Amino acid sequence: MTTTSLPWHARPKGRAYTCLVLWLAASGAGAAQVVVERPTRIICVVPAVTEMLFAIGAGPQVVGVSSFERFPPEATKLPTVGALLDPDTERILSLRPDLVVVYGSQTDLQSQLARAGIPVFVYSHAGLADVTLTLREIGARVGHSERAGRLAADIERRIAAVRARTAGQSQPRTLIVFGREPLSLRGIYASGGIGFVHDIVAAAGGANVFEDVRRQAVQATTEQILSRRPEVILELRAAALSPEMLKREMDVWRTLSAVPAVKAGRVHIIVDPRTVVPGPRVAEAVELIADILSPGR
Amino acid sequence: MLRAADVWFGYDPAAPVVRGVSLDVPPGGFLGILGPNGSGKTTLLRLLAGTRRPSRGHVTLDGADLSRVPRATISRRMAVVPQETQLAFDYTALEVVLMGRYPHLRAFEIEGPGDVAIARQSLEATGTRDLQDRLFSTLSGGEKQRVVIAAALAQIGQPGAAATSHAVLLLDEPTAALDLAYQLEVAALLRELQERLPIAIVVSTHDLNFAASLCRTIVLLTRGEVLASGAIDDVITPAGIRALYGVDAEVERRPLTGHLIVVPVARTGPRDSR
Amino acid sequence: MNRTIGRRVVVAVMGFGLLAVAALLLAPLAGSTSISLRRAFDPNIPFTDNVDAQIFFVARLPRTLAGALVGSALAAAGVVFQGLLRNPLATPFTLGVSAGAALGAMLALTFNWSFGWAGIAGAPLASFAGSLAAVGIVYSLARAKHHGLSTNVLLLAGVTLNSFFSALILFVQYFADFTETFRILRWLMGDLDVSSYRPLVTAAPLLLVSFAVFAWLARPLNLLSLGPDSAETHGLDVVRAQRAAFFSASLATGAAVSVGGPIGFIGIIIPHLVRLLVGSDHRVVLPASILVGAAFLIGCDVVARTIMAPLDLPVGVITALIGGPFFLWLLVRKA
Repeated sequence: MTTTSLPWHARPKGRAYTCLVLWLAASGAGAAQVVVERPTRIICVVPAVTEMLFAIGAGPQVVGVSSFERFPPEATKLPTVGALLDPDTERILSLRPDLVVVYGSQTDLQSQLARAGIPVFVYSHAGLADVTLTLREIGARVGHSERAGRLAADIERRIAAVRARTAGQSQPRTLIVFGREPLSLRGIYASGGIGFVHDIVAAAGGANVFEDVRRQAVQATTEQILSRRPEVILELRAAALSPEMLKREMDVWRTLSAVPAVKAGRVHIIVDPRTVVPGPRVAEAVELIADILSPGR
Repeated sequence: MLRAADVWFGYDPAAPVVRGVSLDVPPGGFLGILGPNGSGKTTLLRLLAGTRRPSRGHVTLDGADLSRVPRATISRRMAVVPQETQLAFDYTALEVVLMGRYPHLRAFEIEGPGDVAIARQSLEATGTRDLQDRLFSTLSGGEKQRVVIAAALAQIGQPGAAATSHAVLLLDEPTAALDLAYQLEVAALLRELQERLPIAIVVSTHDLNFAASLCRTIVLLTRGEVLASGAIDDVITPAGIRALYGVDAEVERRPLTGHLIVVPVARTGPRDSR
Repeated sequence: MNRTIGRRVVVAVMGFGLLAVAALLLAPLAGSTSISLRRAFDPNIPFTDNVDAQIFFVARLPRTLAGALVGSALAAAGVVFQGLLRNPLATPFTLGVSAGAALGAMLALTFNWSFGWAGIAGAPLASFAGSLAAVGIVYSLARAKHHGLSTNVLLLAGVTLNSFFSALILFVQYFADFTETFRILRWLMGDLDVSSYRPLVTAAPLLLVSFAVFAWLARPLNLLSLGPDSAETHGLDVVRAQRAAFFSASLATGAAVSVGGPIGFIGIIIPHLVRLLVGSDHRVVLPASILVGAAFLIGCDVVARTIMAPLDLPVGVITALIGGPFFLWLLVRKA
């Protein structure tokens, strides 16, 4: 085939390649997307990732956070832009971000940002392992890969240490409760065998009584709880309770007195955001839960 | 026996629908309340039955003011056959007739054999005995009307007594929803009942010939007021009809049946405007 | 149906009573776990150690009794509301009672109202209070000035209240977070896992009062189906009967919803099914509905907790899956 007179993009093969590359670029990135190596105006709708950003030193680069943002304190002072269900696109755009961290399910927001030419980092949360994976990815994305790498390695090391410690010991059967109706055992909502909370408890040496249910959440009936005989009950709560309410809520479990956890008094109501946010403090969560599950080892 | 003395009534107090009506139903009487649509016939019937209280005047049964008599007591002596009966649920004809016996039952009492006997007799009297186990909703218009009349008869019947003395049967436009054959059926039935049982009957209707063929006394009602009342021959005259309906008519007595018959001929002037 | 009414009532009560008793006895034996009855009833094992006994007496038995209570209440309330509104399509939820109950429960669950009273937790209490509020609003709207309780206005007021409260419920849900929303949705689907006899003991007297009034209402409801005017000329104090029907049926519905949530379709399937079997005389339909309603909901609950073990389906889903096609069949049959 002759290759002399025509420029490369006018030749048949070259034309085909050009079209292919353009098509790939267009479908992948939308309108001319400018990828910045070190974004300085980051908006993060995912509280867990915000924690990560501040932990790796990218705090000063963050200009907007989720309305559910709680940690660290500096982050709570930043402007809020909504959350998973109600992201405020106008506000996001008005802050002129050069990177927006969004949930995988926020497809509308993603296409709006793509049309505006703003780069996004798509976050989807699954298991415990994804925490350090995300940490490394976001670290690379915002120009702090080294620090992110060190933090991720540290987390992995700490979790591995707990795993090693508890591997030889007996693994208590554990019921993990996300929520229930106040002052009653109605509507108990427990963790199934999937999800990072289950992973945290597993790493901490607990055997989830609902491990066989391949779902993130299970509606647990009293019959199921009685027949699965958990030795420890962990209730994870978002809001703190007064000591009096705490006692009343713990007393509610006494109707199921044949449950080993109730008989042995091993019902724990945990109000600690570290256990429910898949962020950089998960190692602390694993250690905390390991302490509860096997005290005084 | 059943008497209305200068009764007034309006659903809206400012617009009375019945104005100063007086009438009298003797024992065993047959009264027709005749008037065009909107003249207040149904309301007057409600007042006579005691389900509405007149704002002025009294309705009395054997001298007792109806507004002071307990509803249950009234319903043992007076029964109303409404223009149309639509059941919300599927009852059999016998069940509908047995409901006529409820006013005679105490709380939590159930119908005894005497009540069932009266119900059966009432069905017999209206020629609907073989319909008793049929669902009411599956009956024809005429059959339904006869079953409802049977229910009314059961309501005013006394256990063990053949006579139902001093009872009143009120019928509101009994032929309005029926076609010709059924109209004749019901008319014949009422005539027969009147002859056999010593009950008083009050019929409200806009059908001249129906009233003329049945009733002994007539009250002409227009816009809530009594235009004329008295024996049928005195009231149903060409003059009375012209005044009531604005229609020229011929009135004659048929030799075959002995009834009065009214044949409308032409409109005269404008009708009484509403 | 020439047999006398007395005999029909006795036959219906005995026949359906047998069904209800069988359901009550057999249901606690079924479940997603297999237990040893001998162990459960063994007096030598202390209760606090006896898992089989706790499964039977804490998990399954209260649940079965709750099913009986809620099923009988909703079925009978359905019959009474249909008689009051003279409409076979009316349900215990038509007049807004369950919307009020749902709003009450929603507020308690969303804002985590942790108050309790006489051993009853916040959500059922708030739910009952909500149903009373709804009843009060609907009744005061429907009270006509002159002649009695207008069932048309009652219906309009109830339907309007349903819409309005549903909007409020959506509004409240907006403020809830994930887990709360899920729990609320679950509550709306019905749940009989009471795990305690207290809510039953509290609801039972309310139901007894309602059922006593229903017994008195049987003949008046027959008369009301003739139409309010005809009922009156048959000697019935129509306003008093309508009021009694409205309040007693609302009380039964409110109590049932606060125990098990708004379980749908029972209030409409059972009355129709029972009428198909025994005719329309309320003196037979009411006791029969109470018994059949109890047996039916107990049965649905057994299905709900065994068919997809270890997952526990909401009982309202089962009643809807059975009720929907049944209702379609009814409509087709009538047409």
